[in-house]
Amino acid sequence: MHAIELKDVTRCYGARTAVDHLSLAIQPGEVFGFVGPNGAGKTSTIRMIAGLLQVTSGEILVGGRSVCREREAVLGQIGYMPDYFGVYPDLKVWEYLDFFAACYLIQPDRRPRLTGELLELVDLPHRRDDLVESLSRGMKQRLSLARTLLHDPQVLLLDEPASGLDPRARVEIRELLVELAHMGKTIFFSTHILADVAEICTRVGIIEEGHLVAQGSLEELHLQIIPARRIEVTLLGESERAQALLADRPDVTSLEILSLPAGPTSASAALGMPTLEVMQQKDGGRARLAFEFNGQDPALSRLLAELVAAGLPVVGFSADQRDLEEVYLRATKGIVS
Amino acid sequence: MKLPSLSAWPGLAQHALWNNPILVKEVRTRMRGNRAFVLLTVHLLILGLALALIYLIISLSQATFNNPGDRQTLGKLIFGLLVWMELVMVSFTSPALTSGAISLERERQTFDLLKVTLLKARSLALGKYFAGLVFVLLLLVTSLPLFGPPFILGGIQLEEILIAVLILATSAVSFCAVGLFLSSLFSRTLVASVLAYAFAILMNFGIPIMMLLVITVLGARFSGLAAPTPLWTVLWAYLAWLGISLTPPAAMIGTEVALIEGQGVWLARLPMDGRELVFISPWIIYVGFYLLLSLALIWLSTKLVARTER
Repeated sequence: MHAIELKDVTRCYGARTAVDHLSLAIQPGEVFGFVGPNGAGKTSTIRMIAGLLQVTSGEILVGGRSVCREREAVLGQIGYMPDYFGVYPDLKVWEYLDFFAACYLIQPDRRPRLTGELLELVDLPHRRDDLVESLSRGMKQRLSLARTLLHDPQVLLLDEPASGLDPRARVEIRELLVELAHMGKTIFFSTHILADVAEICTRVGIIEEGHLVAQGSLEELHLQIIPARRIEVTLLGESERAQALLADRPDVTSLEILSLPAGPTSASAALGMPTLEVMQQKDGGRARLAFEFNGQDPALSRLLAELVAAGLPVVGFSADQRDLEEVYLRATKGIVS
Repeated sequence: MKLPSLSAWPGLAQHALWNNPILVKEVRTRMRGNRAFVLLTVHLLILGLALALIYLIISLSQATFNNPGDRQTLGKLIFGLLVWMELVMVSFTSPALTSGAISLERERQTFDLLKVTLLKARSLALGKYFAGLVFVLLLLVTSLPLFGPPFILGGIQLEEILIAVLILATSAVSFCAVGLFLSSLFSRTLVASVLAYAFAILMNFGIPIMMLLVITVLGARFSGLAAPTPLWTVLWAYLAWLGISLTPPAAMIGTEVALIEGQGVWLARLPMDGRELVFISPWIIYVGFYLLLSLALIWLSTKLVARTER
């Protein structure tokens, strides 16, 4: 059973379609990052999952229950944090949590301990008796996160949880999300901050103009959108033999010599590759080559085995980190509906 | 950290008004600081000063109150003034306390937060409603001792005071319900407040003025014409009685006049065209109609609060 499942969901505001036939399935325990430009349909999607906005067509299930037909059962399973912080100016921090705990029908005798534990979790016990209004934005976001946890929901819907926060507050929120993921919560969150997504998400969905343009793990997205990846090989010599071997491979699309043990060389001319660029550097007698590889992981593994089997003195072989920003830019066109 | 799992309360306690989190929060925040104290004090000072002023004016104009008739007149005057001032207070405090009940939650962006909790729409609407009503009733209850002087002066019966308080309480119930309904219907507090005040003005001043105008115009138009048929006369009499009974000041005055004329608390008998027409006392019609209207408006408010954005 999926933690969240969207089946062909569409949401229209008059003539404008905010979410267009969106289908998505989130597994229990997943941290799903929902990324897209402003106006792409992220908030509408999250509000529909939370049951705050009606779907125009399609169906949404949370824990196998219909958001539309079994709303009350679904509400017990979700914790929703909007992209704004709703303030009751006259309430103290503990009163704020106590009030929402009462709204979640938690018994009065359990509330003091629960609010205390949650304030510890979000690192706000020292602000317990302060008015909510006096908290910084980062603290309010953490308090808001504590509010979503009051009834121990299995699914957290977080709309831009780190938006407008300073770097430290962002890191704190990110750490909290990691901790919640370790507690087994399913986290569905929208964000603009791609670094957060790359850091904590097990899966990412990219939405634009209400369409899901890509989804999967970072690795899958990279292969899907940017099939070629850059590999660096470091050798203790015999770089020309390595260049020749690589040049013969159909899945190697370009080759670059980053450094050679000896003087300058015109390797590009020797290999006849149009994109070749030579950067001569002294590197402790090692040769460093970089190439674009458009195969899958097993093929890459075989290539490394071939290099070693050919007797080449390979001392380093690394693929670059997947860059979500590049994936995002290629997947989206910058169109806002 | 292990978060405790959710467990439901026993059914009755969960729905009891004193366990309503909205009501508890609203009362707690309203009574915090000196706002409530200042409001109560100002309210009682205004009423007390008005009472003292009228007593002073009349006592200066008449050397003594040896004549029991004069004392009773003074008692009735003070009683009437107090009830009217209380009615104005109820009519204008109730919208102030309830016309932002739901719309302010929308404006403060806390409405969604409440809607994703397990709190029922009914609890939300009732919590908001009673939070406003309780404070209006508090103002009313704290001013009850001011009915003491006119009662001591004479001319006022206990049942008159009880009926007046019942009409005032019903007015509080219905004006709060109107405020809550408008606040649920409109997303902007300003619109809800303006309409709630417009309703209060219409009920207290607009309808009485319109009734006077209608009577004057109709009287002038039909003077000299043939007398209407007995059926029309009876129909008009009952319609006029209904109009009187559904308007707060008119209902109070109508009930008072009936009591002064020696009619009963429950029924009034008026001779008309040689026959006696029996009417239900205006306060009963007023209380019955406005309690039913309030129930309907609270029910509608609950439906509006439960509505998912389309």
